Amino acid sequence: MKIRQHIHGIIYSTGQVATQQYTYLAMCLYLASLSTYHALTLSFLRGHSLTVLRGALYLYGASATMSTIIIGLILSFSISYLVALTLNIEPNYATILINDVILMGIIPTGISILFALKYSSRLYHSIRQMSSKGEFRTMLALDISPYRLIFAPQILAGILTVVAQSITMAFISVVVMNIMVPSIAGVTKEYFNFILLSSINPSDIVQFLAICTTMGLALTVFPIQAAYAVSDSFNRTESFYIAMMSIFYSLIIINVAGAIL
Amino acid sequence: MIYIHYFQDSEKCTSMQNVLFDLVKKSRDVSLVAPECPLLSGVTVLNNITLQAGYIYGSTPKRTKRDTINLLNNFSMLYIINKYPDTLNNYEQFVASYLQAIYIHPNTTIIIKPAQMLNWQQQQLEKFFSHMPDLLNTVIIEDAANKKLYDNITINKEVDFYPWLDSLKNLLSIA
Repeated sequence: MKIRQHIHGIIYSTGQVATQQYTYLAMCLYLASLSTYHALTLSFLRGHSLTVLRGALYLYGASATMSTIIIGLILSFSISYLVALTLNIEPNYATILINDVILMGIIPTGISILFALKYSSRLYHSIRQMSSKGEFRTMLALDISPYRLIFAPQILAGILTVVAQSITMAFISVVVMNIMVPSIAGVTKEYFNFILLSSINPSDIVQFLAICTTMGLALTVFPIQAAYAVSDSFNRTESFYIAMMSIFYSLIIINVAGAIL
Repeated sequence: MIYIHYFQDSEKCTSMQNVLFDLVKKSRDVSLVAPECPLLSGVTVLNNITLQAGYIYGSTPKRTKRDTINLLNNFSMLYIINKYPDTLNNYEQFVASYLQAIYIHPNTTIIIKPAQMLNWQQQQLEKFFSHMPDLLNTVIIEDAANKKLYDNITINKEVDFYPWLDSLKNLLSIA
């Protein structure tokens, strides 16, 4: 009897967690669609929303440029050795490495981890603070949508930042590989350029941009929704947990979308 | 005209606040100043006051700044225009919240628990009401325990809130 009750309890709590997660995901999708609508109509580019967008772009983008460049350089040097070694074994493997592993994997994921650790947790914290102070109630009393005033600019800034930083990192990688790989692998520069150009098609660039956009969207939408929905007390570690979970969710979305397409 | 309603029961006051929030959301003829609705932190007083006008009506920054300067001059508090809410004292925050509420010229302004927002200081309450523009209809909802603080303030009428609210709803044709 006791075992039966125990099993019932486990099933009940599992169901509860699953329902919470599904509701959370549904709300995130709602937030994403609403923010995308505002972003497409550009209706939020007025008054304070524009100030929020400018501030977020400065905070996420401009202030993180140096760290992106430094980490990009460190990553590029290690990648160059890897590519040079692979090029010596089999040139086809090098094209696969550059396309599938570096362009589609390491660069967007690296930038996303940087963004999540630095800004997703911060975004979660700031939205939670606004929520606990009751500032969203002020917005509702003034007939102002927080989606348009705060969330849509933050999400757009997140997407633009992740895309721009990933492009910067890809550019740094290409430049460093162009300098390093021919000397390490003992091949001519023309041959390596041919390998590099043959590994990347225009459709790959579109795919790369789509991955970065999804990452940027997930890294801002999930923390915002998590902070906006809950109103009880919280601790500092929770924000990092939410930020890392958003990477996990974005990777799932990318893999599912990749499998479907 | 200043109307006042003293409430005895705090639970009733909470339910009343919820009704008022709904009313304020539905109509732009009524605006609300409440301790539960603070100014937005990270936004200057100027932007806080003109938030609604810039957002909904698309007023130009030049015009909104001129209007805000005039409003703040009424309270002799022009020095707070570029300050952030966290750096203001209770009185300055309360005045900024009030100016935020009256900026779009509503028909009625409802102030909930002003004594609490002003830290129960009678002097500040009197100072605020002496500077307040007379033309607007202002409804104050206050705890009966704080009745003493309003001894020196001219209140035009003590109202029973619920019939008044119904008549206001009818006037604004909100069900």
